[in-house]
Amino acid sequence: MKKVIMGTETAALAAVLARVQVVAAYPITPQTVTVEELSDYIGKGELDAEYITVESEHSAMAACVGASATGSRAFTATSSQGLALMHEMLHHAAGGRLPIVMLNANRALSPPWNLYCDHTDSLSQRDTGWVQYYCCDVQDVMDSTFIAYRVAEKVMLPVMINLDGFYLTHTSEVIDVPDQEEVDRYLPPYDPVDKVDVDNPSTYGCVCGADLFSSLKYRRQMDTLAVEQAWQEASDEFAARFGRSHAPVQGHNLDDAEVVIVTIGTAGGAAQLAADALRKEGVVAGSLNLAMVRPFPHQSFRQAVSGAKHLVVLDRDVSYGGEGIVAQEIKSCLYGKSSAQVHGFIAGAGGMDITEELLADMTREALGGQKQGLELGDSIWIKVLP
Amino acid sequence: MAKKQIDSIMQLPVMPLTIEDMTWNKTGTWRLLTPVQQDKTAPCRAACPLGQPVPQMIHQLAQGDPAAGLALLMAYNPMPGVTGRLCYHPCQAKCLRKELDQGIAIQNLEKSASEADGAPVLERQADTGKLVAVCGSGPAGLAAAYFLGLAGNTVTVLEPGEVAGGLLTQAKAGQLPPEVLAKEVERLTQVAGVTIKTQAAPSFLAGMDLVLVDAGAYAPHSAEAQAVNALASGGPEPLVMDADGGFKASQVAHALALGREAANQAQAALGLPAVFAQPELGPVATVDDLTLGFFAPAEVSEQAQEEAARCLSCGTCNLCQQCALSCPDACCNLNEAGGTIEIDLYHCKGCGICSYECPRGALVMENQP
Repeated sequence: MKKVIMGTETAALAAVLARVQVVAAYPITPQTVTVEELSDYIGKGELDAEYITVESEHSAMAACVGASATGSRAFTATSSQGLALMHEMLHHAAGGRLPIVMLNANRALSPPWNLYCDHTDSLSQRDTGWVQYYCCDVQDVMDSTFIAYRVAEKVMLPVMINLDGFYLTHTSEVIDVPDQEEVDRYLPPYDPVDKVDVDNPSTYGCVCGADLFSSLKYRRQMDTLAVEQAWQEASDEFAARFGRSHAPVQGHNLDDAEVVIVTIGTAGGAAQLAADALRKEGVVAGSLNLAMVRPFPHQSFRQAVSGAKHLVVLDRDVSYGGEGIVAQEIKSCLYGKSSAQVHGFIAGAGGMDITEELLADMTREALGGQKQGLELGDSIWIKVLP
Repeated sequence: MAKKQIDSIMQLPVMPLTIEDMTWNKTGTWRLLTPVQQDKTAPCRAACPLGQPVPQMIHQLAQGDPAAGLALLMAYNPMPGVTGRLCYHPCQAKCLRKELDQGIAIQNLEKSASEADGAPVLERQADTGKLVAVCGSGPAGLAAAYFLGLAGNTVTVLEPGEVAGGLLTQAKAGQLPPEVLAKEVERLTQVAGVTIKTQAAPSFLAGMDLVLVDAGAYAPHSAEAQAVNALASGGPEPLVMDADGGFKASQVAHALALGREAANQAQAALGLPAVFAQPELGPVATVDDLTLGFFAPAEVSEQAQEEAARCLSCGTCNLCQQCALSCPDACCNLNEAGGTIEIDLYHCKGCGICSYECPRGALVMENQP
């Protein structure tokens, strides 16, 4: 069924179709519509789930942790400050190996106050152990939610689905809404081997001594690294059933590309247009939408850029004292494996639109053209005061 | 139990959860102080002339088992239905519940327990083959006969009058109805296997191994006293209970205690072991041993089970399980069969929370391994 629908509404509808059993959430702009819609669905009896109202995001995640531990499919949504407040429980969810799926609407962290898109909120939760997926359009929000539960419940890790604040949360697009039966066939009910059970009591998140602690971390790292492959397989099966692919690395004209524009989130669309425009100028350009940041899809990424000489990397974030977080990740991935030059640009935060022209100009600068921004450290900052 | 051996990454559970219990970890070796259940003596019991286990009896009433309460009383007292009506109840004066609201109506509860159906079965010693006569059926005589009967002797109580009970027969009917006295006498004879002969003649005493005389409550020259003393002539040299000038009806518990002690003296005279011994009791509990915050105020109730539930069981474990609830290591556990709290000293770290939390001061921390 085709439908014109907004990103936040889509996330709620996807949760309904995924038959989530527990929703515990706290409203925050620009995510609020999602949890409002979910409470409506549950209130009207259109979704058979518990809606747990909580006093904070920390409690929302704590409730999801408890719900998931009992074997329920749990869902929540947050943004920015709310995600930061959840931080402690994010570790608990991932360390507890609980397949929770959460929508995060990417928004700037204060101060200064700004409600618009910035990726620092989710990227600074990079090391909590959550799988991080960044959506490029509204259809991606719908489809990746099903894939997320499919993967999460296979590898027993939580997944954060990221939506660019306002660019995606508040944009309506025409999407294909799958039938419930089709979703059910792709996503069977969650039935874990281990769950909190009063008839068979055991302690979850218990104490562990030095004898097994490192081994447990090793096991978790092993399982987390395996997510790249698991997501690829789940995406392939989704593509076979629904005709749409949502792989960890999504390339555009990469086969012969010498210059690759790398983005996360909604900028992927503009990057494709920019690459196409650059090709008309004779620059053999392609674009790469890095949908998964954690675990970093090392194999797919190295393969995708194996022929590239220049990577133009957009960061809507910065690691203060370092550089753009995505650029850091890419350098780490390619170190010793590729001679491509990584050009880090910091732009598009706080409501600055990323356009085809901006990305093309950044690429031209990387290739020796006119300077667009101010160089600072290892990054070039766009549209800052001189 | 040995610790489970894990040899490879893939043997680890995916989730960090318990893969076995922790009983292999004998944390009891960390302990410096050890919790010991040390029941103190409830002030009511300490004040009782018969030393009856008052809180234990009340606990049985609260549990809805008056017969068990009656059995506890009758190990100390042959006639709880009499003391439950006549005694001046020094127990109630000492009740610590008064610190919270109002004291427990202990005497009513004793009376209530005495009205339990049937006669309790108390352990009666093997037959000694000794013949004992008790002259006079006042409370002291009946108590002596009761305990000597329990000791396995063949006991006959001789009463010159028409009704057993001595001075108790003269109590006001409003306080002690004659049918209650008769029932109490009947029950004690049944429990201890004692025979009572009223309008008895002295000729009966020939062949007795021991004769005990209870004429103490009467004025020495009264007709009743003379009749009792006359009964004792013609047998072996009698053992006379010294009532020290006699008792009032309200002092019946003292008379019963005298008879109980006389039974022990008679046993000694017969070359037999004592039949009654008060168990060794701990120090008397005070209000400082109680944590009154645990107890909600409650109105005095006419209904025995409700009233019994108000008892604080001062210094005496009543299996409330507050220790079990508060032990962080699940080391205090109710042994339902034994009716005791058991402390798992293999795992108790000696934190002392159980002792601190015990609402009635029945758990102490001792400097022992």
